[in-house]
Amino acid sequence: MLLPDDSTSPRMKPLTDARALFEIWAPVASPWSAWAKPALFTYLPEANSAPVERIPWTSAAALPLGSGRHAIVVDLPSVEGIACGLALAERGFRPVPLYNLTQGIGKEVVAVDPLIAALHEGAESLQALAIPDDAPPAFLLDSNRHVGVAAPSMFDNRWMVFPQDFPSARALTSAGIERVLVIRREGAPRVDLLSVLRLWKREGLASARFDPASGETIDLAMDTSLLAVFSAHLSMIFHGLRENAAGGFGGRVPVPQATSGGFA
Amino acid sequence: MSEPEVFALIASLVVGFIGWGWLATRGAMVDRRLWSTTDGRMRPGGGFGCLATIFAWFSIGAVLFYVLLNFAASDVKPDAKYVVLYLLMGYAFAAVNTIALRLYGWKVPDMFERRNRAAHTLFYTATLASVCAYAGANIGDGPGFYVVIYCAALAHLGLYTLVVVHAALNRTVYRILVDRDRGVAFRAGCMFVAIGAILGRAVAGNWTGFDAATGDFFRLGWPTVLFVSADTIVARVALSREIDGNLWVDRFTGVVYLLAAVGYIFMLGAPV
Repeated sequence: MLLPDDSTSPRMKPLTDARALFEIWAPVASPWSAWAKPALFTYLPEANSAPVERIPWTSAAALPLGSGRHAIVVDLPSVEGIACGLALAERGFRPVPLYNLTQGIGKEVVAVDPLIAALHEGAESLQALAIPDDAPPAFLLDSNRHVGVAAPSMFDNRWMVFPQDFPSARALTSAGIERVLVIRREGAPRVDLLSVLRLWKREGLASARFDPASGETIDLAMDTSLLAVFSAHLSMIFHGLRENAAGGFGGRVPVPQATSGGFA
Repeated sequence: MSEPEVFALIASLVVGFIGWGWLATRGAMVDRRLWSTTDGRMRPGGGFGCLATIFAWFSIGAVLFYVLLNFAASDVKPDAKYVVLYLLMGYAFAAVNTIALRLYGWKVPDMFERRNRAAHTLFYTATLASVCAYAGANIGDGPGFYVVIYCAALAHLGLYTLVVVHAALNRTVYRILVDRDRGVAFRAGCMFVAIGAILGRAVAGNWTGFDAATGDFFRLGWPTVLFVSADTIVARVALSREIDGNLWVDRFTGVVYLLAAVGYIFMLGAPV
């Protein structure tokens, strides 16, 4: 089970339905649920799937939240992002899962099972928390979303985020958000997230990166010129990832066929 | 039907089936499953993707049936198989239109996964714009289906060019897809319908040759540039700091665009 430790939380009814699971992670009453991604919730973990490894996430207490008018983007690897989201939920944030990848035939480039199982298991602790409807959002991403090499016959489910996947700066500021904190361990945010932060910055919403390992918070400076926005836009159009016909990212990498043509 | 006409029928069927089937599948896979909660409450924007798709589908049929049965070539109107051919071609053009909408930044996930109501409005109105452009190409007599394709392609080319210019000049795309501003989506959508209708009228009429058709297209279709110019000004003047802040102003402006297009088309009179 994921942290925060939910051993004291009351036992909930077992979740049997993707819709019920989505409802817990994206309740209708929260305005930020409109941005929650349904892709992973169309899958249910297998009944015999192994329990999720317990991951401690204790850095939430060290977050410099100042006035409390912060939105958070959790950009941590795999289930650690969900563990962080649950820890933030205990501090009054509404975790908003933005995982936009799918499963398919073949070995997956980005592991999906742990995420599905973690969302499933974390739902009980999340349901037990009384998060206010107007709680600020904590958007959950997998920092491994673009990591890995897609070889033939593998299921390439690497994914990325677009500005449309987040509320606009206008929507965030009208909800009282003054600053965005990106929780990320290694280096600067990826180009896809950076383009979102850049658009927010252009509309007057500043962002900073919090490193949970060192506890440091660094203001993110970025090029907000039109050229930078345009070049990021172009790189996102030609991202080369495989979008799934049923929503989300994911597609099988074709196996090159040997041909009988050509010269002997 | 001749062999080329049978080929056009099959091609239209395939393109239309793939395009609209893809949208329906996407809606069934994502939207239908998660549009409401377990206790029957609707999610904001939930189900609207499927509704917009269904409305678009019926609207295409209604508009094209009316035009084909009343204004199409004299040998098409009484012949059911030709009506079906041109109807299916219309569905194929509208299916391609959903791909072309990427030029404006709109993508299918905006409808279903993101449940963006402004994107639903944009999709529906852009489909109507495409249908108007295609319907115009069916008005009047002509030597065969290839002139309908030529005129429809010409009208769509004009429509997409103006769509790209509009996207480049304004932040409307951002307001629709990221801000999810329904008022802006309605205003821009009405402008596209107005442009589609005018371009449809510009390619309507009896066929007299490629040069004449192209000449008529530019001679009668130029006012569409005024719509893009006007909306560029409106987008700046009516800019609101709030999302949906100018909902009624945007709606009113959208209706004005439609009325202006209808007025212009009536002023031109029946195509010859």
